[in-house]
Amino acid sequence: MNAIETHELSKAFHGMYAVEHLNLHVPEGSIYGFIGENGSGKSTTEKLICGLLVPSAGTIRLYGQPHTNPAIRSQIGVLIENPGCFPNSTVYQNLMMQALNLDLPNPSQEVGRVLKLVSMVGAAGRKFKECSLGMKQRLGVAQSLLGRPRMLILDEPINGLDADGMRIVRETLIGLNQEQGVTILVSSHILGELAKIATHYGILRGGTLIREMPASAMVEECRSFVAVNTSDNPRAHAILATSYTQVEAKDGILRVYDETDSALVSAFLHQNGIGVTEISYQSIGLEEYYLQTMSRQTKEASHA
Amino acid sequence: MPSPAAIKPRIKSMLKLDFYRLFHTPVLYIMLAISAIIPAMLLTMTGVETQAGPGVSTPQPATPGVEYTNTWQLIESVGGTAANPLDFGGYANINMVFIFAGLLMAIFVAHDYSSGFVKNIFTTHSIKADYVISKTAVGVFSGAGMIASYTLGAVVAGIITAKSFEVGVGGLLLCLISKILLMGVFCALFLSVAVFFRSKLWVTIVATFLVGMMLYPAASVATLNSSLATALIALLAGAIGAALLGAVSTVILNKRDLA
Repeated sequence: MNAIETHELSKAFHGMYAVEHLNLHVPEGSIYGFIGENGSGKSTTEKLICGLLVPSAGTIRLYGQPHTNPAIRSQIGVLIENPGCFPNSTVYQNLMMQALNLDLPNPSQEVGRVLKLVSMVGAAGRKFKECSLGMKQRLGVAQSLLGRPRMLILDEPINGLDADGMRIVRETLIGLNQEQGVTILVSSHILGELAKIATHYGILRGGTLIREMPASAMVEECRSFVAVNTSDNPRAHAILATSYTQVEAKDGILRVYDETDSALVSAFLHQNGIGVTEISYQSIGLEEYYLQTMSRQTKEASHA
Repeated sequence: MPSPAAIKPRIKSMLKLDFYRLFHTPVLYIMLAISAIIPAMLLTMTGVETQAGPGVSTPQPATPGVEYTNTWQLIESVGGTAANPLDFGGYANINMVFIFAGLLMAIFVAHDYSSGFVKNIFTTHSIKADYVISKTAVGVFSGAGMIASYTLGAVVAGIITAKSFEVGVGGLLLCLISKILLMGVFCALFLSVAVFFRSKLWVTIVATFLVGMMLYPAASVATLNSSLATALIALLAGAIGAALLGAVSTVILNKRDLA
């Protein structure tokens, strides 16, 4: 069953569509990495799912139920953009208010639990306005974890966090997903960090979902290549192109996508009188895959 | 349509949240303190008693240029004439706390939006009607507290300045109860204004003052010679007004995006 499913979801602001005909499928128990450039509609989609925005068209179902169902909504933890906290209230008071709002049976105990999870026990008495950016972000994550939600919707949860803060959030999310089966929809611009946790991906552009796939499929699509540097790259490029169909010059090196054996490429270049200075077998990461997908989309759009 | 069994815990949790916030933020205490200080200032600054004398059984309206002779003139006068627009005391009498309750609600709602806490509220099980009911209840409770605080301030200042305390006790009690009941319609109206302007605190405050001043004469209905009928009218007006204006607030919240 899908934890989140949208059907032809659209949202317009003053006649301009921020999200258009979105058909999103977030499987139950997944960590769904939501990727897209600024203004692509990620936050709008998340706000629509959370019920903060009213859709212009389309439907949203959470665990097969309409997203407006209060019983379903009480099982969702949310961090959208900034944590919603009162600046003059303490960290503890802000968490306590949300715990009361959720009608948790033992609110103070639950607040203590989430403070421990995000390593903020020592800052419980600090006013929110006196917290650092990283602490505020961790508090937002703690707020979303109150009441052991079945699903988390997190918009840029690691923004402003240092390396240790990122590790704490990452380990917390992986733990929740693997130990308690919590479904997580998470958007982030820090793709390297997202790649460490996501089991599924959705790529959004201009309010439209352009790709949706499991992480395993993306790994397959993230093409591997032989990277080669020579004494004369332009000539090497021309020579390689006579034997291989997918050769590309990038960042000062040549990439041969339709070959996996670097020794064969090296031997081929030597036969043609070109000295190889550097050669290795590499594969592209999530960030590069994303950029390539975006670039392909731009080309396709301009051709159309 | 949600069942009453499902609605009850939702409203209960929203009330718990709002009352926790009310008692853990300084706004309520500041408003209570101001409500107590104003009658004390009015009584002490209007000079020495010159007109009160033995045999005064019913407090008369405070009129321009004439100082208070009876403590209860601050609460209200016979027939509600203390609301005479030319009389400073008429504006600073107990009906002033209706505006204070409006200010408290304006601050409460605007901070919900400006802090982003409203996202926490509406992404959980709460629905817009819960928010309206809970906020109105907080407003009525705070307003009742301010009425009590104002009365207490007037009594203490009355003792210090040796003002007369002669009044019909039944009429006084029914007057205070009626004012508390009328808080329902006032707070519901202030809430509609607040949810309309959302995080724009200063606009909300100005609008609250304007609508508060328009509705101000209604508060003067409850006078020191109030009867059970007055309290009943106040109860009906408070309940019906709160229900109608609460529905307006709910529609405003439902129609608009929250973030």
